[in-house]
Amino acid sequence: MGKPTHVTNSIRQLRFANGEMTQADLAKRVGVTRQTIIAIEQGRYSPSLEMAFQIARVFGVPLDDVFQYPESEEKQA
Amino acid sequence: MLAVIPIAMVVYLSVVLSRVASMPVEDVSWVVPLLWTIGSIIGGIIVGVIAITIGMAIRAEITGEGKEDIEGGPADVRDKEIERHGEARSQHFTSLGAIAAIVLAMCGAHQFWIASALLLAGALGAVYGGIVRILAYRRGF
Repeated sequence: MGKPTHVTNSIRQLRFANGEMTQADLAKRVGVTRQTIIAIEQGRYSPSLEMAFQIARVFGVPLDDVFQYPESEEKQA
Repeated sequence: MLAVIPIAMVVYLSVVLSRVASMPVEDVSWVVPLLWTIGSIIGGIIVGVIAITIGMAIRAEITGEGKEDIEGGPADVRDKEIERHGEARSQHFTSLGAIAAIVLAMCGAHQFWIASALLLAGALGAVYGGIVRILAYRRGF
């Protein structure tokens, strides 16, 4: 089974850049379980658009700074 | 916990099929074994859930991890999506079981075969749905 999503993210880096925020802290602020944050970070789950915006808002950055969709994948689609 | 269903089904099928092999199907006592099978599956799942919850609580107490999973940590959107995904896959088998039951009824099959087909389809659906959920959690969804 291939990777379920082509969407990549910078959540891990952003967490560390924001005072070494823990996955549990981020989960609490977004209103999801820690397991969901782990799954998103590892690319095992694509969050809904609303959740993606919530995560970006926690870090105070635009959506593109949190989630990326590689160019080559776009061309294949 | 998922193992309860195949174990109960193997016991049920081995009991009733051995009876079917030795006597006409009309004389086979299948209702009681079927009720026992359904009862054991329900009971086994309840006991399994209690045991897992106690195990998780002990682990959380020792390691300090996973407390939110026990202390009323709500199922979030991902859990709900995975649940729906598993249910949808499970219903494929339930639908096949319903079709099989209709075909058997149209062919004038004995009630035993109809009930067993429905039970088997339900059991296969539950196991398949469970496997789909586990894979969704482990590999991604």
